[in-house]
Amino acid sequence: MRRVLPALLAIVVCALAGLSLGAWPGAHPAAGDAGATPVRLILQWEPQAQFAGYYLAAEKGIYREHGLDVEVVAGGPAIDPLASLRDGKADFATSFLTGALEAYGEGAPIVNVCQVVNRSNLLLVAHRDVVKDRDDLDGSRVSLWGTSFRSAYLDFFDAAGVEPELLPQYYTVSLFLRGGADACAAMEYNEYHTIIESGVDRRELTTISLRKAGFDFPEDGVYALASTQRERPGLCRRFAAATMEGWRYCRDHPDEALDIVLRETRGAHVPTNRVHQRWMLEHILASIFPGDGDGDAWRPGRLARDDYERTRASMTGEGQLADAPEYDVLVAPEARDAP
Amino acid sequence: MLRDLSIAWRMTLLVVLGAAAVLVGISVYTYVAAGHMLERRQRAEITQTLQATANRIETVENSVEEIVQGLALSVEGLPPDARRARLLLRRTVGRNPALVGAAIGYDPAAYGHLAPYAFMDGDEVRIKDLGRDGRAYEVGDWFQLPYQMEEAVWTDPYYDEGGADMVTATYALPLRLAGGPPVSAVVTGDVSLNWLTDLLEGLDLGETGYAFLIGQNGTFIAHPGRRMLMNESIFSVAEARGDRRLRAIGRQMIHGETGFTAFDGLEGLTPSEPSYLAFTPIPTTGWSLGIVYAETEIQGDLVALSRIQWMISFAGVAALVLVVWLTARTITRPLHALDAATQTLAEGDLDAPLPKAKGRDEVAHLTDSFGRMRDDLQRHIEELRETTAERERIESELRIAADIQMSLVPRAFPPFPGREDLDLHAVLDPAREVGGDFYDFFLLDDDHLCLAIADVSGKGVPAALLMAGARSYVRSFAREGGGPAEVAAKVNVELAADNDACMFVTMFLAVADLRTGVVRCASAGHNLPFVIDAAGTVTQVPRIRGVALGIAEAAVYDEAEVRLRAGDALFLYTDGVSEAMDVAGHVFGEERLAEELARAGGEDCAGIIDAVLAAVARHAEGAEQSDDITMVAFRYLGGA
Repeated sequence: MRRVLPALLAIVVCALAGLSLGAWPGAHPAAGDAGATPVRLILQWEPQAQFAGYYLAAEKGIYREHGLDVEVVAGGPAIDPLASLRDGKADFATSFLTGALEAYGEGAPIVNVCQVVNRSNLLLVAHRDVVKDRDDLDGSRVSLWGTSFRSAYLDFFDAAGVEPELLPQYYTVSLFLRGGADACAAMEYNEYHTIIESGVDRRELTTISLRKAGFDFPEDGVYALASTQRERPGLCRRFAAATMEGWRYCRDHPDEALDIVLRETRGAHVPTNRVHQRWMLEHILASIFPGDGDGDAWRPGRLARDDYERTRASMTGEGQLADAPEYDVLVAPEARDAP
Repeated sequence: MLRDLSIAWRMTLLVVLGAAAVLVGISVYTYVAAGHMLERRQRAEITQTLQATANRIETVENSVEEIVQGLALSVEGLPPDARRARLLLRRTVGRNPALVGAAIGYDPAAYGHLAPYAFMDGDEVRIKDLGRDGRAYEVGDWFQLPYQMEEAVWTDPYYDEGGADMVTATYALPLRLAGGPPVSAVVTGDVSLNWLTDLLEGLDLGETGYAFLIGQNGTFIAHPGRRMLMNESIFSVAEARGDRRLRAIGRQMIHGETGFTAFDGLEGLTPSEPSYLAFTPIPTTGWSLGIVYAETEIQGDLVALSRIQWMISFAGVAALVLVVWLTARTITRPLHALDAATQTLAEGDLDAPLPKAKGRDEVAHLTDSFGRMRDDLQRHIEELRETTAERERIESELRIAADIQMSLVPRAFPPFPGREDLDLHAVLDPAREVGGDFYDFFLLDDDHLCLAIADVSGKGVPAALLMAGARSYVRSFAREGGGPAEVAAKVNVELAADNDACMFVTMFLAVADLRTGVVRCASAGHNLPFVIDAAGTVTQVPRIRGVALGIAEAAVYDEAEVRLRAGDALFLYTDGVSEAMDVAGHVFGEERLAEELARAGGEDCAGIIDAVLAAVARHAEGAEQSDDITMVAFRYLGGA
């Protein structure tokens, strides 16, 4: 026994040391400050839980572990992330797939390196006293966001055979709340909850999910310039992997994720609250990782060919785009669902 | 248990219990009533403050609306003129301290991006173009809402990007320019809302009360918790708490209702102490002003009030205890004295002094009555003593009379021991009060026996004395010789001579010749005796004339003769036998007597008398004997 004990102790000490070394970001062989590659990521919009995975990956040292020194830049009304990418102001940018197709059509040589949000969150929300079902939308005043958000709605109206009067919708749903519009576009994780949080009860609303209506287009993805992807495929791979790891961390630590998101929103003077961000985080996570009821609807981080083709068809079919690239062109190999 | 206590304690206890019950009732009622009253008053005060504050906010907003409307009037109907617009804006902002900024945004579709904006930068008014370099100002609510809705709006307040920590709201008015589309431009006025927070914090709402303001969609525009401003809405707080009631209240508020309701507090995100919320809309903007105040503020006053009330109540009850105790003592003290006096009285000391009765209350009455009772008792005892003495005197007189009576009749039987020719027995059973019966028998010579039985009228000593007299006369006159009628006549004369008391004597006299059995009889109004022959046949001596002795001196007495054979018996009696009554008043009667004599005829004289006595006793059956029972039985046994 006397000989065994010191030996055991030595093993334990060594193991602990090894563990702590391994866990310490600075000790990672490829992640030293000096060795980390500086990278800039531009988000679509101001800080909110929609981007929790990127903030967390940066905050918790996940990017650093992958040898990346990532600066997360919040977007806003005055910032076009894909344009920033084209102009070389950022290495990576997030965008809706529809937005990416639009940008590509406008000549931005971009490529999808990671499809984060694989499920559509688009809703059409209407005042129930005016619009009881989709048929009532005919001739009603419906406010919609700009171009890249529109195609799913327009497809839906076509399919439903209604012709609403379209109004522009920008950053708020005030026009809808004040009755200036009978219906409005809403993200399930954001504006829908904003409307509920403005004192409108669910029973006062007619809510139509475009996904459930068959217009399920993937949303947030991470894009890089095709050249970047070609020249530094490892960087893109690492960035995609770290990003998804950041999202997994959010899924496993939602409260910590909310703390960090709220710190970012306050720093950016974005008016919001924890309840709203919690709602957003829960819903965005459900769109990133398939839930129990989703089966293997998609592979996290990958963009399925079918989903892509459906989106492409919609964008070109509505005449918003003359043409759109093939799956293999816009989607980098590491983001493809199948070889 | 209560009855085991003394009166003083019982009274004290009951009064205290009663008073305590009343005081508790009053206290509870007062607590509730005062609570309602304070609540009403506080509610009125809060409502007043609420309305006054809402009015002040509205006044400022109205003035902003008027300024912007004035600005619109200066532009409306004219062609777009950027230079003139800038001038107007600069002047408007410069002259109206309520405004921190004002803009005219032209419809980009009709006029391109042009939106001159004048704003306060420190003390200076500066101008910039919100649409410079094609900036899309039309995406802002301030332009979009009036543009689409074609009516003036107050936008939801927002953090001014330029100014630090300034909440701003904008009043935006659509207007039409000459030759332009229906909404050619939007004129706005910006107002800082920081003063609102100062205004609300300046309200006197007690220690814990506070006021807040929410916008059209429930967002906090002013609130003591600065974190809440623009970030949280009343609905997000409700959702965070899972408080559906708060959401309902929020909906009432944003729908422009006025209300007053119990409320769970709003400071921070956790429910604190119970409180009330009063709210009223600010119609101009569609905002709602709420005042929250804690229930404890009312409760505090109420608790203080009830504490004082309880203290007064306790003091009152204590004083009451003392008063009741003392009062009870003034009642029970004389009662105690009376009790002690009664004890002495009960021990027989009727002369013991009673406590002096003071005043005219019940106790004084009781003492008086008690004194009277004692006096009556004393008098009664005195009277009793006197009557007892009288009774004793009468009784001794009766005893004397009885002694006389009994001493006058021969009571030794057999009376003539040695004589074989006769059997004789007699009995005198006096009634309770001495009657006047007597009997006598004596030998006049060896061959003649004199028998007498009499009933003297009246009772007591006079009757006894008369009886004694009559007996002496009979004895002496009989010895003088002569028949029984003669003796009766002589006795009559003697008794009637000085009969002042008008007393009389009935008597039967008989003289039996013991040789022959011939009995000579005289009757002075007396019951006629029976003759029982040896065969047991009973016959009554025939009627003989003669009235009672002592009534009339000249009375005449006849004489009759009865011949007895050997074995025949003569039975003499007084009316005490024949008229003995039972309880119902029925007399024994001579017939019954004759029957009894026939039944007992075989007995000796003592046996006959015993049998008759027994029969009479059976008849009377407990009825009190009212007269002397006297009987003499004589049986002739034949000559020698």
